[in-house]
Amino acid sequence: MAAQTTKTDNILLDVKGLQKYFPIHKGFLRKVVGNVKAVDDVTFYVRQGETLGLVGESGCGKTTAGRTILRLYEPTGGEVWFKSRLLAGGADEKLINLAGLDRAQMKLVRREIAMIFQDPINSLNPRMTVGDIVAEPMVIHGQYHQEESEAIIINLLTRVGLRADHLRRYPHEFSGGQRQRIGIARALSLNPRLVICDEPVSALDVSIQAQTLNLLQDLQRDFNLAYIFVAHDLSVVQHISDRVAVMYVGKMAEMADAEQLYMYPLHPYTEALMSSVPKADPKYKSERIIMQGDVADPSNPPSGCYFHPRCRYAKEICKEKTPEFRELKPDHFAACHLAEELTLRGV
Amino acid sequence: MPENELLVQIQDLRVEFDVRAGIVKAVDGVSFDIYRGQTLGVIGESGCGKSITARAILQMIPKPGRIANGQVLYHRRARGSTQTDIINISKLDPDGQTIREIRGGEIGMIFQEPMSSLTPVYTAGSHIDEAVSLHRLTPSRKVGDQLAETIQAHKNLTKQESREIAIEMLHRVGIPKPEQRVDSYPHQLSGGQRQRVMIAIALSCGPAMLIADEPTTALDVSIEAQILDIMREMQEKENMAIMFITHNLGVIAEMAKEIVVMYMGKQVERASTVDVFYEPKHPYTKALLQSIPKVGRKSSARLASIEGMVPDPFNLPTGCVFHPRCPSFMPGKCDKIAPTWKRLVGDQWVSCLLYEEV
Repeated sequence: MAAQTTKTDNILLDVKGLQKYFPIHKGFLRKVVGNVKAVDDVTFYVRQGETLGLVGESGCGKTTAGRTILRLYEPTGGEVWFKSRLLAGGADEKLINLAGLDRAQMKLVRREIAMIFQDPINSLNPRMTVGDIVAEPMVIHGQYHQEESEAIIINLLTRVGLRADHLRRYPHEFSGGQRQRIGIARALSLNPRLVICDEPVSALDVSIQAQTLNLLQDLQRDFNLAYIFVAHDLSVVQHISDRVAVMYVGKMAEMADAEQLYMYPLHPYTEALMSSVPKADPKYKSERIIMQGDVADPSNPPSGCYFHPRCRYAKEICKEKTPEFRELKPDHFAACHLAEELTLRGV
Repeated sequence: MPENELLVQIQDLRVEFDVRAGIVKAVDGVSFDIYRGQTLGVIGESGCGKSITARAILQMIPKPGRIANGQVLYHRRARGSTQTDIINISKLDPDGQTIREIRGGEIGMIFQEPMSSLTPVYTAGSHIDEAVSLHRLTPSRKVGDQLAETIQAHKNLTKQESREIAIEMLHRVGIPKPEQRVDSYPHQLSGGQRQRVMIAIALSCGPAMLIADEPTTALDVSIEAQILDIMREMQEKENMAIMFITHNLGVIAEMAKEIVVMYMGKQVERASTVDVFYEPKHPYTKALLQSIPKVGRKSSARLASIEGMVPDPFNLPTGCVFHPRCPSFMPGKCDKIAPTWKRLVGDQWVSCLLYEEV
């Protein structure tokens, strides 16, 4: 949000070298013969009240990264520092590594970090009423107190654009956009500080998508929420994000202020990705950079920089050495050996 | 070859679904022309009838739908000949010989979900074979076999010859190592590769027209860019017409020459792509354009959104169907009088009372 901030200001979540490997089993004894490195060295941070967009092609590990932060998957390695109020005992707040917490502590943290899912149909239990769905997190965490909570729920429902009389209805009675609103109300019921939004609008029609994005922005302002916004639609991500992180095959490629990243990318992958976005302007002559080949296989990645087989600037060093994810300009990180020599094109 | 050669004329097409709760007018009086070598874009939200319109062209409307009125005139021409026969597709038997020759052979199609349109038990090649005949990939067969089958069915070639064409097609759509890929099964391919196999299948018989129904919606932008390039290249080479259905306005801006905007089964506006983007006339078109975030310039402004929701198809609003959500709603007019389909300037058509004297 603020233009000139240093990294240490206002950090809410600081992810360092996060890894999540899924083992590949083979044979009768189910021996582990390899690993799918879905998340392999992911580093980013989120400040309070801001939105970090997380983008990349399918299979790059952006969803897995989001889930590993909440320990829906056990991390294989790395640290997840989160500034928790509840763990610090109320008014105070302190940075705590989530990767080292036990179940009871983790449960407390889950009140502060919520999640919104992509599929508004399958992420709601069809046999529960809207009221029960929104109340469920409160019940699970022992925060449900009959009358008081019902008032909170009604307030939440109206806040997300539904009505109090929707309370006793079932999910199938609602449209896709309304269901997503129910999911948003549920995510906010415990008053979280960070919401991980996993493709929250990609299943919605354009007009409903715009309504939902506006709602997410309003809620962010009113409740001072921070979002991690995982999506593959680059225009949506730029619209909603303060900063954007680009992932490629489980690793970070680039992270910067949204406008900086889109206009002045420092990583060739970001450049190619941006050039592929179709522009809604028929007079615009596109000069797309077509990336050759497919995304690397995360169980058998290439040597050196994972992007080098598809990179049009690749040199010898890119095949040999893994580039470091480093801060090239204030608050602008990229993992590319050639970042200093290249002049890349933005959108 | 002259530029404006008519290929398909759709005239006042109406498709109805007779279901228990009543009749749904999925397509309600749509007319447009498709020319050889050009791309017509159809945009609109889910349920606006754009896919059903495309299916009507191929007589592939799912039950209990039926073409209630209107006609689809197909200007058929044998390869290399200049003789044109006009066939009224809407009068053909959906299971008859003629329409089966046209489907896949003369009018190819690609659907949205590449996984479910390939049969898992076939390989890529057999898919292209088969696609030529059945327009679907079978998962338990090699894609190559499926490809070759399509080609065989429509071209009377031997198995070996059609396999060679299958490999050639896979190569043209940019599948790496096509000689090997021809023997892989759909699950061994990535989503982008499966979609490219579907395109190879659709293009393997050199169709006069390609119907692409949300062909890139499920794909990443990088793969999308590749696929759009392949389609344009093929169009240029074969003078193929494309009917491109999508709700992605960026994609349509790049691909289409002319655009039809649909809302609740009706066409609300039709114009050249530049006019639609620079001089949109219908309030729905304007709202649609404003509701998409644009890359590049950063604005902290809120997106303009269309208020409300798509109406219930059994309980359509009176007058103009868009009036409950319309920012230019004129009380006493829009809720009482249905607008007519009117030509404004040049080739810009619109259906809105703002442009009528009432």
